[in-house]
Amino acid sequence: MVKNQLTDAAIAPLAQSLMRTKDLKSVYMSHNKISNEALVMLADALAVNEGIEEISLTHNDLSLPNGVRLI
Amino acid sequence: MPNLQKISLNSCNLDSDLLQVLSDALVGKDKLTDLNLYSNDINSEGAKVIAGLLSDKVNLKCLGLSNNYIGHGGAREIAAVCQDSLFGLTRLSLESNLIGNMGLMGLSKALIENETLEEIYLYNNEVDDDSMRAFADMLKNKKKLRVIGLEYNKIRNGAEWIFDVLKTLPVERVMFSQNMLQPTIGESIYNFLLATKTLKELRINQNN
Repeated sequence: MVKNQLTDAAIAPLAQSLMRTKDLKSVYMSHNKISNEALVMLADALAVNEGIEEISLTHNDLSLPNGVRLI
Repeated sequence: MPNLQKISLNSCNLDSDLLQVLSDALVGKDKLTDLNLYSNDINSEGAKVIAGLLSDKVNLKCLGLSNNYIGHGGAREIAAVCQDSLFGLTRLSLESNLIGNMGLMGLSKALIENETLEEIYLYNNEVDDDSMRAFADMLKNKKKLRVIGLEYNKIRNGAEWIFDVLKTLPVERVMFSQNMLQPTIGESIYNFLLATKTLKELRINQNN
């Protein structure tokens, strides 16, 4: 999912999937202009995922108000 | 993400405040092996936060802080945590960070006991001959060193000490481009090339 422009409509189902999947080890989401709202969705999903070992959010703006939640 | 091992948050506009949030979020994540924070807004204060968050990350192997501005003060913070906690560090990337001779000497002193380092990147850090002796002494026991990057600094004859040490190490990539290497360095490089059995890439372009 590198260098895309994932919209909130795309992030929502993705976040739902991240909550359920148990086998996923690595998530690369660099260069995606993730919106402030989408950051929340991702943050909530990643918080409950216990399988992920590697995450890359390079070139996304985590200084947005909800960026803190994702961290 | 309790099993998180590798994090890349390059170019994410992280400043000291956000780094503190990151630090809090990583409490207890002692499986962390890679932390990459290239190209953010990390100054010496931010480096201090990073040093704090790494104080219990004894499994960390790769630390990337290139393209920030930690300065010599920040370098000393990172040096301290390298010495006290990061016993298995294999890759240290501090390119373009204004660490200067004081910062490099602090790092050299802190890493003197480390025997795991494989890659060190110090491109564009305003270092010159004054810190090369200490740096060379630090390298002597780095029996796994494969890559050394010192491009775009102000190194002159001090490179002789480095090439002399590198003769005994398994280096594959040696990068000294854009320094101020003097003609007398030729003999040191010649001797290094005679001795090395591992070198694949030597960059000494643009030294004038």
